[in-house]
Amino acid sequence: MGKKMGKKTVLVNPPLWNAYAPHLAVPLLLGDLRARGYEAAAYDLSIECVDWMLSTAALEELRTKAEQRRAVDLEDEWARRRALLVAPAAIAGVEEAKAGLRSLATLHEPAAFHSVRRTVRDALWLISGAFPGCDFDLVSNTSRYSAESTLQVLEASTDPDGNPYRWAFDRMLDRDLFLDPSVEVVGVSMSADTQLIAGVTFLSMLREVRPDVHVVLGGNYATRLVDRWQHRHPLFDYVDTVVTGEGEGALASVIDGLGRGRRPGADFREKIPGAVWDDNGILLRTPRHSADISTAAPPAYDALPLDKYLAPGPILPVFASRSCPWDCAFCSIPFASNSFRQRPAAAVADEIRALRAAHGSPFIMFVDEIMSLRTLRNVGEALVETSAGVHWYGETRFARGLDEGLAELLHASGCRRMNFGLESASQRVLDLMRKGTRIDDACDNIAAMLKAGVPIHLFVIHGFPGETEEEAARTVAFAEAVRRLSVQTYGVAHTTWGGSPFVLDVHSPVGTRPEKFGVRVEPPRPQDDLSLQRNYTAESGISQQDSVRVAEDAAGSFGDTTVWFRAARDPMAREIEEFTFLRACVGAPLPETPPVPLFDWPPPHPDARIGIAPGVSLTRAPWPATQTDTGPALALYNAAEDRFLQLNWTGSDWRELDGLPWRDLESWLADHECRYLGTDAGATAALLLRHGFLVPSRRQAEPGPGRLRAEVGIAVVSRGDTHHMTNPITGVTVRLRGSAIDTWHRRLSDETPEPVTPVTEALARYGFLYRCPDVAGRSRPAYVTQGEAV
Amino acid sequence: MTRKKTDLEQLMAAAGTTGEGPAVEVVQPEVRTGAQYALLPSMKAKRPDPSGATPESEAEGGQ
Repeated sequence: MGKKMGKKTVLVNPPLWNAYAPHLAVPLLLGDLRARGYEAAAYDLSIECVDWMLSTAALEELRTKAEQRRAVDLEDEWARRRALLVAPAAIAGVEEAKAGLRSLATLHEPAAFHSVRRTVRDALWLISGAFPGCDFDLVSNTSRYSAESTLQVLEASTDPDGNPYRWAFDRMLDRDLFLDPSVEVVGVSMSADTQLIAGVTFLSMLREVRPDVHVVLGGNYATRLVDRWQHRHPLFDYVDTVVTGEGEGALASVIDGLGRGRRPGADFREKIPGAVWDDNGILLRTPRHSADISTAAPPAYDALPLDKYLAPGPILPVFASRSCPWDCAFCSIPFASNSFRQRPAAAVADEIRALRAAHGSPFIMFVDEIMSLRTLRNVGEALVETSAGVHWYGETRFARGLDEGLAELLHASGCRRMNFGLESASQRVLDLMRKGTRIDDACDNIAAMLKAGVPIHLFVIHGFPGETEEEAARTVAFAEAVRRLSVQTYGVAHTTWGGSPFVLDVHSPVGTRPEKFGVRVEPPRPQDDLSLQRNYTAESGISQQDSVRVAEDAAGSFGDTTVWFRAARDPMAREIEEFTFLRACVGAPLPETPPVPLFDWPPPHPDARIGIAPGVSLTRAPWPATQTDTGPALALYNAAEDRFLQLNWTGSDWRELDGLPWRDLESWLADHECRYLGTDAGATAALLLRHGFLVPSRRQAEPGPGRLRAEVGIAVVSRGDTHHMTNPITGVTVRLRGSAIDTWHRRLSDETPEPVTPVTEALARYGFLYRCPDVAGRSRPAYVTQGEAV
Repeated sequence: MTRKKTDLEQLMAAAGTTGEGPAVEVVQPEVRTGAQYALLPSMKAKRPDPSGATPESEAEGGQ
C-alpha cells in the first residue's frame, strides 16, 4: 500500500459528454482505483467547461468575441448576427436558466421550463456565433475543425479562435490540479467522437504543463479508433499508453508497472490486457480480456461536481451488465466492450441503495447496452426486496418473455422509462438487420409495458440498406401510432420515439461484411482518416441520401432552413431523455408548445403612443429580406416573446419611431421605406404590433369579432398529403392534414368569412390566423433565400 | 392456435392508411427526437437537394 500512496492519478472526462447527467466511466475507474488502494482524483472537464461557458462572465466575453470576429461566409455571418441579437437575453438570464434546469419544480411549470430552455438556447447560439462554423450544443457539437481528420484535430488544439474548447480551457482549466507534483498518471476517458477535439486539446495543453506525467487513454471510442492503426499515430505525441476495452484493473497495472521502473528488454505493458503503445513507430498491443464485474467497486460520484449537471437529481448512472450478446448488423457496441456479462442483482440493488443514501437522489439511469430479460427480472426483484425507493430507466429489446407480469414488476421496482430499439416495424427489415426480434413480440411488449404504466421510448433507424420507402413510412406511422395508443388508451403521457438515418459504422457487421447486406462502401476521403463511418450505395431500397430525407420528413423538418434566424438548428429542441424520465417520475406533463398568440389586434386607438417593447434587440443583417429589396435588412429579436423579424430598413436609427402616435406609424414606415417582406406600411405596422415588437400605450377595450385572416409570410411545404407550415417570426411549425389544408387555402383567398372550428382555433392559437376587422386585402410578400443574389 | 390481436396490431394496420393524426398538429421536436439528430459531416455533404422543399410564399403555397 505504501508504494501506492503519495503518487496520484487524475482521471479526466473531456468535453463533450451529455451535460444532463454524470458519465459513469470516470467515477467507476476512480472507485476501482480507490478500492485497490491507489490515490486518485476525478476531473469532469466536460461539465466544468459547459458550466463555465454557460456563465454570465463567459458569455460577456463571447459577445465581445462575436462582435469582433470576421465571418468566414454568409451562413457564418448569419450565425454571428444571431448571436449578437440574442446576447442581451442570454447574458441576463443564463444563471437563472441553469438554476431552473436543475430544479424539479421547473418540470411542473411548462411556461417556466419553456423560458429556461429558450434562454439556454440563446446562450448556446451566442457561444456558436463567437466561433466560425460552430454549432455548440449540449450533446454534440461542431466547429470549423473536423473530428474526422488528424490534421484538423491537431490544428484545432492550438486555435482559440476556431476551437471553442481551446478558448475555454485557456480560461478555465484547473492547471493547479495537474501541476501537483504528486500527479504521475493522467487517465483520459474518450467514449464518443464528440470528445476527440476537446480531448486532444486538453492532452496537448497537459504535455506543455506536465511533459513528465504518464498519459493513459481509454474508452469505447478510443478503443474503436486505435484498433485501426498499425503504425504510430500523432496522437501518441500526447499519449503513452492506450487501454482498449475495459479499464478496471488495467489502469492499476499501468500505475504499478511505472512504479517498478524500466527493465531492459521488457515493457511493463506486455502483461496488461488491452494495452497499446508505440514501440519505435510500430504499435504493439496485447489481447483484451473481459474484466470481472461481479465484484465491481461502486462508482465514486463524491468526486464529481454533482450540482453542476443541467438536470435535477442528479440522475446517477449504474450498470447491471456489460456489453451485448446480440449481433445486430448496424451496431459496433460488442466490438469495443468484450463479452456479455451480468452483475449479481443483489450487489446492484445494494449499490443503488448506497448511492441514494450518499447523494440523496432517487433517480437512477442504467447504462447497460442492453438490460436482458434476466437482468430486468433479477434487478427488478432485488430493488423491490431491498425497498430501494428509487426511480430508474434503462434500455432493452423486444422479447417474448417481457409479459405483463414482468412489466408490473418493473413498474413496482421504480422503472419509469424503458428504451427499446424498435428500429423498424417491418419484419422483413428487422430480419435484414439481423435484429433477432419479432414485431409480434414488440406489439405485445409495448402493450404490456403501457398497461403497467411504464412509458417507453422507441429508437428507429430510417433507411437501413434494402428498406423500401413504404417500409420506412410504415415504421414512422407505427411509432406515431404507439404514441397515440400510449396517451389515449393507457393514459401514459411520456412515451416518445426518435429516429435517425442509418449510419454505416466500420466496426458493425454491415461495415465488416458489406457484400452480405447488398452494400457498396465508398472509401473515405483521404483527409477523413479518423472517420469510423462510411458513405455507401445500397443495391436496393432507399438510398443514403433519401434516408436523411425520410428522417427529416418524419421529424417535420424542412431540411436546411437557414432562411431565417430561427432555422431548424435549435440546440435545445431535441427531446432530452433525462427530462422525459424525470417528468414521468414526478408526474409532470410533457411540455407542449405553448400558445403563440398574436397581440394587440385590431388596432389600438389612433392617439395611442407606440413604444418599442422592452428587451427588443436589433442588428443589421448582411442580406436583403425580399426579392424587391436591395439594401441589407434590419433584424429584430423580441426576447420576451421569442420572435425574430426582419425589416428592410437602411436608415440609421429605428428607435426614432419610439413614442409616435399609432395614427402616424404607417406614414412613418412609408416615409422611411421600412417594411416587412414586401408588404405595405399599413401591414408592416400591424405586424409589428401583432408580434409584440411595438406596444401601444392604450389598447382597445373590447375587440370586435372581425374576420379570421392568414398571417403574412407563412412558409408552406407540401409533401404528399400533408402541409408543413412555419411562421418564421414565431418559429412554430404545424402539420396540416385533410380538411385543415382546405381551411388554410380558404383563409388565403379570404373571400368569405370562416366559421370558428377546431381547425381555425388551433391555427389562431399558434399564430397562423388572426382576427381582423374587414378591410381590403393586403399584398402578399414573397421570400428570398437569405444570401441569394438579388 | 389463434392469437388475440393486440391494440397495437390493429393500430399498425391502421397506420398503413393515410389521413391518420389530427388535422392540425404542432410539430414538437421535444417529443420527436428525430428533429434534431446530429448529422455527421460526411452526411451533411450528402444532404438531398432541397429544391423540392424550397419555402414558398403563402401566395404560392395557396394556389
